[in-house]
Amino acid sequence: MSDAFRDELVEGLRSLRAFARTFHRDQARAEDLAQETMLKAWAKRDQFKPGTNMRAWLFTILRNTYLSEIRKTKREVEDVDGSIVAGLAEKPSQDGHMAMLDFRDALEQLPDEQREALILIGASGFTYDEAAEIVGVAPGTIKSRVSRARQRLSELLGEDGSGADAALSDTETSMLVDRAAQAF
Amino acid sequence: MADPQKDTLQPNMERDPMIKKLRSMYDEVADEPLPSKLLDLLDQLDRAERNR
Repeated sequence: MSDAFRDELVEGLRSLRAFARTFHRDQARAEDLAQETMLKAWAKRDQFKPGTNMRAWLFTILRNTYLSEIRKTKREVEDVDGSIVAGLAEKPSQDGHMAMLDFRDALEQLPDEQREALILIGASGFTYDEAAEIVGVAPGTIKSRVSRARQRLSELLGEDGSGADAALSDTETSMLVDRAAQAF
Repeated sequence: MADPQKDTLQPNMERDPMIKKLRSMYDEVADEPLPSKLLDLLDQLDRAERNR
């Protein structure tokens, strides 16, 4: 491995761990995911083009690793009892106002694709175009997922924004609702 | 560590307390030193490659 590749990999791993641990409630699993991604990146190092975006490359590997794991788990559980999978896949009720949650709990309630988009844009600092490339969707899809994630978080945290220190302004909330509506 | 790029976030998102909270959670991990287990593993891979 070249020293330059190693240095970039180490730097990218900081973001990767931060993403995995923000995305996953299970911190041990998040660390395993980051390690697995590092091993795969090392094995595929010949495919990395120097000068291109190492972070985006690593995030793509992490995402594929995570999805493979989900598929494998689902297959294993389905073999035992299909009804368990149905239960796991069941989303929390979207109706009514839920009891106030803390930020970590609220984040966990978001669908994976919304949580992923929100962290990529809001915390990892990727542009919409970069996030779209990592996820394999159009930039507009990332925008609408981020918008819906923020709206849902705001609902889960309570109208006064408890758990997030303050609420979105009425104007911001209204803009988000409009944007989400336009996405459909 | 988060490295915001131009045009990544809309101005209203930058001010959003939820986004600030999210970024704070993220940065807390990103600013930690990498676990020695991870770095040791990388050293082993590196050594194995150089000795090949």
